[in-house]
Amino acid sequence: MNNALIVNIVRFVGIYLFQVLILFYVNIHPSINIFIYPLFILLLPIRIPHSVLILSAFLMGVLVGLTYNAVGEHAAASVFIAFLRPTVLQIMEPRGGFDPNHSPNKHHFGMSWFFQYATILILIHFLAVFSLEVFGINAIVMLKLVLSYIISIIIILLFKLLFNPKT
Amino acid sequence: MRNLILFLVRYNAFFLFVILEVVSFSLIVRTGSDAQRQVWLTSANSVTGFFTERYNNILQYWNLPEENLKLQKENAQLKAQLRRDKFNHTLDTATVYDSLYEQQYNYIPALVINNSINLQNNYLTLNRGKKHGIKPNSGVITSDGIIGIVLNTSRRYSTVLSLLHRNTKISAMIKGSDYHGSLVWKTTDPRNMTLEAIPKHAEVEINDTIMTSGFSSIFPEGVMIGVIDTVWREAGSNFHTIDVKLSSDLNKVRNVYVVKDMLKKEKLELEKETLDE
Repeated sequence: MNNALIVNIVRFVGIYLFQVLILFYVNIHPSINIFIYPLFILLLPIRIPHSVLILSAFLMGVLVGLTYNAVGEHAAASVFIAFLRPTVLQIMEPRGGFDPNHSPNKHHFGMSWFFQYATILILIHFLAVFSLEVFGINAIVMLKLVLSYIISIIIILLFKLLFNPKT
Repeated sequence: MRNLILFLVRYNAFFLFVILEVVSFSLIVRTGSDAQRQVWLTSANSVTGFFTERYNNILQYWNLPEENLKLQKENAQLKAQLRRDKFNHTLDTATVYDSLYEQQYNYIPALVINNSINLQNNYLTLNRGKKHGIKPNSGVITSDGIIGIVLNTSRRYSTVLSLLHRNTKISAMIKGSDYHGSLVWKTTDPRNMTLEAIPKHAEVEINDTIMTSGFSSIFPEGVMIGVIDTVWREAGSNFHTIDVKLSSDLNKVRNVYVVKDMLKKEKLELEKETLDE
């Protein structure tokens, strides 16, 4: 229990700093925003109380939003995917069920499972952020969504390859 | 009531979700006056701003070489715009018209822009040239004393043969006695020159004033040169050798006047005619 708590706090700080100190300054193209901080929400343990999950996501969203000058957008999107996460996990539950102490990561479920799981929540998150920015959905939002998703998911998967803890 | 509490506890996550989404939506910074009010929610707030600024200070080091080049270029551009670096062509010479006395000498103010005193042959450069009416063989003086003689002129500049030059020979005389001799520089001391060809029978005293004679049409008569420091009475010579302490400090010379003799041509032509006969 303590071990999982520490791992998640370290992960929170690490992902947050990587997001605001490095990715914030990466400018590949105006339409590409690289957000990997939803990874923190994805990797919280399966058995975590839903309200704690939502509160953690809110905190992360607000902190990242402060740097990006979009507190509301990031907080709303993060809370939204945190709310949806148990439902997504339920749908994607493998045969034999989850071990509630595990994090939903590739160590336990494999790369392709994690890729699908991440894609669903990341796409929802990005769509929420980009559409809230303009309060609507248009071609630019969809372009940003696709481009940013591709770059971000690559970095997230690389991240998972580099750091692959069991919890 | 009990059922309501149970309901809230049962669906706590959902209510938390709704509350936080409402909060988040209210935090979405809209443009306009709202943006002003909610500035604390952006990277402009003091806490985030503090860290962002520090972090940017670190990041700036990556761009330093490029920034330096840019600033250097800008500096060069700005320096070129400074008045100090512009060539000033305005002159303030004053000619006084008098029917009794005709103006013979005029003075062109100039600035020393290059100078040396520690060589065997020293030169100065002035920021005035042909365009300002400076001609070779004009004297250069300051309010303290004489400095040298103009050697060459370009359009905007002129070079001056300093007093501290092996070829310098200034016609000088002792104030009050009218004996005249030649002032030369033989030492390496920038404050001392030697006055030669003053006959032995002339009475010279230490601290007598040495001034220009006006014979050469280079300097007007009576411009201070210096005072007698030492008198050497050498046996077997008909002349004194006199050490002169210069009144002008060539090390510190800055603002000078170039002497312009307007009657020089007439004098030289007459002298040439006489010699040719």
